[in-house]
Amino acid sequence: MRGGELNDRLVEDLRARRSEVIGELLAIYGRQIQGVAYLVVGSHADAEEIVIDTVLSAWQHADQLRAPGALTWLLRIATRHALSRRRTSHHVDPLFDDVATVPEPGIDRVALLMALDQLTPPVRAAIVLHYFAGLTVEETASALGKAANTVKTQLHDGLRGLRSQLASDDWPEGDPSEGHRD
Amino acid sequence: MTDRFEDELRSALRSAADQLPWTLSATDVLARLEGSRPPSAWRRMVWMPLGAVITVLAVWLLVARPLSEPPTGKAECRTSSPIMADGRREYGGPRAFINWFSDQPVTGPTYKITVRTDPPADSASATLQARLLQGGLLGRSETQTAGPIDLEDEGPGHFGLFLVRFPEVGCWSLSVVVDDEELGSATFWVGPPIATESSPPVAQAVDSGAEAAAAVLVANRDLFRGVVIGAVGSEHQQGSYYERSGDGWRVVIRVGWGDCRAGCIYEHEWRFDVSTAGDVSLEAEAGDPIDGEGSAAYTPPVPSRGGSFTLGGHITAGDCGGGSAADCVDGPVPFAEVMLRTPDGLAIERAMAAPLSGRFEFEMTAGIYILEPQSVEGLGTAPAVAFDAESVSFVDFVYNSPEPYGRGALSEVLVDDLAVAPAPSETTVKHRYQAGDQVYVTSGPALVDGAEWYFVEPEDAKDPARSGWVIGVDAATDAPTIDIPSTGPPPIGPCQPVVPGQLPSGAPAGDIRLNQEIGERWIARWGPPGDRITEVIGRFAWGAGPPDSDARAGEIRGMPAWVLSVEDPAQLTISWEEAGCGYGIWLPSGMDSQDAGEYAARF
Repeated sequence: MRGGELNDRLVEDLRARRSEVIGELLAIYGRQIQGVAYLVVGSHADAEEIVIDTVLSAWQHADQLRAPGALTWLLRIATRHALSRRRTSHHVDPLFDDVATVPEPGIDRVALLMALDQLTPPVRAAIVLHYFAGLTVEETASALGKAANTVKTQLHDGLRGLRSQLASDDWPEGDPSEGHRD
Repeated sequence: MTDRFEDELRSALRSAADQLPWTLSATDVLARLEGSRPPSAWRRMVWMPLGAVITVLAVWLLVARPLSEPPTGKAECRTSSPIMADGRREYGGPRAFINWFSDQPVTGPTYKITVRTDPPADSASATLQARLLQGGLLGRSETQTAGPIDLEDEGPGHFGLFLVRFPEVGCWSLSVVVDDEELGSATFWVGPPIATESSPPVAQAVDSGAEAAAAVLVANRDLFRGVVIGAVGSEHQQGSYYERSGDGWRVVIRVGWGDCRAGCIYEHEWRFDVSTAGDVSLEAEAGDPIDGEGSAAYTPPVPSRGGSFTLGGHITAGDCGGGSAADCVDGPVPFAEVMLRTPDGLAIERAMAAPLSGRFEFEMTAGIYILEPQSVEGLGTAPAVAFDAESVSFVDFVYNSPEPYGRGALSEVLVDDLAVAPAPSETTVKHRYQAGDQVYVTSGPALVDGAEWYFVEPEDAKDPARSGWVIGVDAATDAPTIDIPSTGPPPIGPCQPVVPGQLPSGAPAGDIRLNQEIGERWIARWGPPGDRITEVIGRFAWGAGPPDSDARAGEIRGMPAWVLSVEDPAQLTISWEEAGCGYGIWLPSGMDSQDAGEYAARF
């Protein structure tokens, strides 16, 4: 999943702090930011707060925004807000805990959320940014403020942890740094 | 290479995120923007209390910046709209009003601000608090000493005279506080700065400095609106010029009015001395009086296209449909509020009707706007009006009927191909609803070209592409296009939402913010993030026993209930069963079980 980049007009509107741009930011990136936040913090309510915090931060620091790379920039803000919130909240939001009661092919979503919850927050954030938001390893590293090699290690550790938590013998290991998004 | 597990992982993550409902709107962000000015972060300016009468003098700031540096942030500063009372411009309300006499320099860069409270308040406990707003957020402020000057002849309720120094150019909010209660506040633009550095040594720089000094004078006085810097003799004779004088500049501002195409009947001229230190003094003033009667009075011009536009009007009460309430007589509705919105419903600014005249006023840039009068208990309200700022400058509202419909009600579309426009009367079609479609009517009616327009949103999801304005009555058949209930929102299936009496903060629940089916459950929401109640209907009926070993027994609405932490200790729920329906309400993060029990009692 990867949203489009901001066009020049939107960037200018954001820098000019036109209120209309908030609605457009939400329309373009809102759900993606909410998804990243939810998968990191595990709470829908907190995820909504993080979306608002992220848009506000973008609004306040619009002078740092460049049209290319805007997605990574926004997700970096969102991830930092999410990791900050996660220090005090670390359980899966129960509101939709029955979403996977109907058997589905592939990975059970509830099991996945619980497995994600067992990862350390930085590893979890790396997994979410790379596999959910669709950032490359380099973009994930930029969003997390880490070296690319560090992120590769986190992704490797994260995948191994998830395999272990989910269906340990069913999933042969691969190298996340060689994923097709790179 | 990627393996199957990674593909499954991507799919599962996406699926998990897709399950989340999307309920946020720009309004939520803007509300936070407004709410992110924590009072604790304010550095208050505390003012010396006075006796029966206090007047406030503000000293205009001096900031050490180059003369050529342009002011920043003025475009974003939503200055308060003035209201007229007893012939004077006042700002704020509802019980304290601030006069910002920006056209009355006293000594140097000094401006007089009068505070009036109505009814007169005990000035001994009055304070004036100032905060700098930057980008809609809190900036900084500094306390200045205050020098009271007695001005008892200002009239009853007028408060003291202070010497105030604003430490920074920008958008300032002033609040009048008496006995720890804020009685009124208003926002003003202060600046741009006058240099405090030494005068420029070369001729070109001197000219630049003089122009900056003239710009300062023009920008900070409503009276000088429309004056052209460095030019006298334009079509409307609003101009200024300047010359080197002593260690600073002499700035002359001249305005003309009354048939200026033929050379202007009236003229008035001010001569100011501006020192390099930034001191401004009125050296001389001459010409026709600017406060003459009728057409002899000078009114600053409304800027031409591309600038800002002024819309004024009055709110008066009609006969309330024949009612006999004491307020239902022709006359102003004191303190009635009007909301200015964008066509897509975003709130821009709120203005209040003046207590004596009922007049309100907005300034805005070019564009289409919605003006929405707010309901007053006992008087109802009046329909909203959509207008083009470039062509409409006056709107009167008469309150004489109850609210016309249940705003937020789920309504049925009665005709096929009902067009959704981005703004009332626009011909662009965003979407077409068909007869039988369900929509929420969340704003309107807006009267445009004699037709009533309503803002609708689809029932099944928040979808901006299908949200917009629809005409309420078919022009050809005169038949309604939507069946709008008189009250709303209506029931949703056999199990109806229980509307909270109040939010956890104690604030009214307000309009329902989400009302839709997700899976096998209905989810309803009230309140903004942080004070939000999410109600899940149709599930979470736990029967007689506790659903969880950690559940606490409680009571809500006179029925047994369970308070659950449900895995996440930061988020509690209250569950109960009522009339065969199961209910669960999710409380905001941060509430503990004691808070939950206390809230259940007043839910």
